[in-house]
Amino acid sequence: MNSSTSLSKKVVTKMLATGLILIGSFLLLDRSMAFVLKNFASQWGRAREAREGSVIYEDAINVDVLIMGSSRAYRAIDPDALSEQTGYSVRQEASKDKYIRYNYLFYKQYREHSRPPKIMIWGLDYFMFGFRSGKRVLSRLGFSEDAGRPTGHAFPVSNGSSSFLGRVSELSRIKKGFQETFFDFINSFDPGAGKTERRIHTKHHGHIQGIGNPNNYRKFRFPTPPGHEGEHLHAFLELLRRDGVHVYLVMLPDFYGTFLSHSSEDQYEDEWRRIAQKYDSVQLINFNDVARFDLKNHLLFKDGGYGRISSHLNYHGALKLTRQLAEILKGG
Amino acid sequence: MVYFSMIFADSLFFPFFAVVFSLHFFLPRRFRWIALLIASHLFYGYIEVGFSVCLFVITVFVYLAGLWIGKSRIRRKWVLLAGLALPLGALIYFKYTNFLLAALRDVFHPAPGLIPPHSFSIVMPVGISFYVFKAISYLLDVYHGKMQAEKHFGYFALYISFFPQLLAGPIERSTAFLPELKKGGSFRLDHFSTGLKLFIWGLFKKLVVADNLARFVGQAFSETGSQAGFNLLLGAIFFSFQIYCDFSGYSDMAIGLGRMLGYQTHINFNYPYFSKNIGEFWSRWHISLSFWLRDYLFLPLAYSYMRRMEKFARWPLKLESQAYIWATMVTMLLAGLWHGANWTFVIWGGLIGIFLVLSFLTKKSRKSMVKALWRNKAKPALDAFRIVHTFLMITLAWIFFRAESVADALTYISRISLRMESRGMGGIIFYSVIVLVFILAEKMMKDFRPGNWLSRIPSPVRVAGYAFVVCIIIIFGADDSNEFLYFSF
Repeated sequence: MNSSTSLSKKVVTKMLATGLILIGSFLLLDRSMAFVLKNFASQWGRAREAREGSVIYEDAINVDVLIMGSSRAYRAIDPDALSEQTGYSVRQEASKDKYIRYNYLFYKQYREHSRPPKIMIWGLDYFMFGFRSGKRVLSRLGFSEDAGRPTGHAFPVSNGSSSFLGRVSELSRIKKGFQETFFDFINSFDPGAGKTERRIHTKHHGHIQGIGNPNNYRKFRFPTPPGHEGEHLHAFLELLRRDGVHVYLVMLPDFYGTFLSHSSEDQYEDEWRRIAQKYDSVQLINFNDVARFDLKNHLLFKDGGYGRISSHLNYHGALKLTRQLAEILKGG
Repeated sequence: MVYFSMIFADSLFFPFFAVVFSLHFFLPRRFRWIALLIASHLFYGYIEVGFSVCLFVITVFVYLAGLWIGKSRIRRKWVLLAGLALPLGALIYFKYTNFLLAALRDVFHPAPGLIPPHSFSIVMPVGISFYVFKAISYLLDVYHGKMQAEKHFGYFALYISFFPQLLAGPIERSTAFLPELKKGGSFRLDHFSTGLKLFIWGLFKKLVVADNLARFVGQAFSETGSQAGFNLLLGAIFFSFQIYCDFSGYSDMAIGLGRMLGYQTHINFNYPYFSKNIGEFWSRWHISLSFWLRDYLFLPLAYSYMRRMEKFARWPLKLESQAYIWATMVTMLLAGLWHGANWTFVIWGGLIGIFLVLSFLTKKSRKSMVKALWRNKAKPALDAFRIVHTFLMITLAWIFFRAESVADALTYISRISLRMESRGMGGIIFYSVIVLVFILAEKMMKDFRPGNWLSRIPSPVRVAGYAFVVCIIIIFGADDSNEFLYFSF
């Protein structure tokens, strides 16, 4: 500082005192908040494992039919209805963020605890080669997304030590892991859960009306295999073949507007047909076909529309598809 | 477009500012402008060197034009117009070329050969709307004799490019800010502490409130079809807070940095969502822009209308009212266009204009109605009603501001309802808590007076409070921080 900004002794003392209080209280609050939040996160992690993780190995082993896939498969196939109509025991393993790698890793763990299922229904997404399995679902299996090795961390601590903030703040180091856990926590909070999924499904029908302009929508093109996780595909199908599992690759229906918004439907079907032909135990069923499923009936869909990448069936749609699927399963 | 990496919320900015701060106070006052000018061009050039060149060319041109206007005694209007040509031309070229071409193509079907059938790929220098408005106000002030043309190129260049204000304002007037820059900025503990507090509060607004709400808002506006009606209502309300916290957060940080360096600037937002009518809102929102528009557009338009339309003074409306309506609508439509080259912004401006006009025309009748209906009733309840009413009107206009197209905005509005679903309730509760805590904090700050309970909190506790805010920013600040919304304007 030059002479024009000379500071009195009193001011300097005040500045130093204020600075010390600021730094001291920051360090104290930083450490104590980090401690509390870490505890919250690990408790939540344990509760989640107890709620979701243990089910994989204890409640639903030795089933006849295993349903796999992402949220579209979860919405499209009703396990109770399928079980009712076929007499098979059914486990629904499909849910959001579960793509090829998750399915493969899950199945490898599942078969260590259970006899292989007779049938696997794998709901296919045209975008599945462009996505990676979610960190949350992978960590539930004990895998980190980056290394592909078990992490042993229920609550990951990011390597923030390279930045200045990461060195001085414990909160900064746990931030990434905390936010993932926290948003997982708030997103899973659903006061209506348990009042049956059917009610939620039913309220969703008809949302697609009037969405997007049919004359001015964008066409989407999606990655073909191997894409992000395609390297696991053949290992997975080979493992299923060795276990004697009959695999139904199910191309799930899309609302007509969404269907039209994809530029590579035919190519996509050809790819899967080529893959299916390599294995005797694999059969491809295309429900994303106007002749096979009423894609234009908005009352069967939860969402979607012109220019939309993805659409999900609603409960009515799921019942219709499950009925058709059950007929195929019964027919062998 | 994200092409910068040294914005205020970025970790790279802190060492940059520390160096600038030290250098600034190390140098004698008369040389401090050099450090700040170099820092400003480094800051801007770091985004894109071409932007810094564009800024420099406009600065030199306006500087020379200012000197010319100051000296000329004849045909000053023409000199002024010549001076405005480059900054205005640059703004129109970078911001509106494609919009104007599209509008022309819409008007002429089929488009004649002169109108290109495609859009051009034009990269708009970030913040150009702000520094061009600074340049225009400077030239107009010199022309109207409100100030002498600045002879010192360094101070003038610094006025245009002062890095805290460069990307998103505030649009400081040369009459106030040039003398401030010439003082050289002296270090004062109270200024430094106020600046630091403002900066931290701005960071909180941006990273904790705006960027977290952006997740919910983004989903509501991009997946309108699959959202429950109540979520859309919340999405619109949350967007009102998102844009406020985003923009005022930037302004607070900019003003805070200026204060830390010893330069006083005016506030840019004065608790706008506590306004009781739309006129009050507009005078509290983006104050530097609304006052700029008032002084350089609204008032000249209104006065010229009154001069030219004197013969229509006997219309059902008084001449002053006619002038108000005309000037308000033109100003607000142009204000909308200033925000972006899209019809959604024009409609946003038009809606605010209509609200202002309606508020103006019904002022007396509303007053008498309130008198009749609200006699002997609690004033706070009336105030709360007026605040909520004003907020909802603004929120309606923000839907157009946020939507991609007018059709999307209309679809969004038509789907709003009170229909709720339990799925996603956790997110709704979390984002609502953020908003409520923010409103409470704003209310406390608004009501802060020397001597009230807040000011009596011991200083160490207050300092610890700021440390707590920093901890909250670290842990709850959105990791995927969005660029500031107003950078695109």
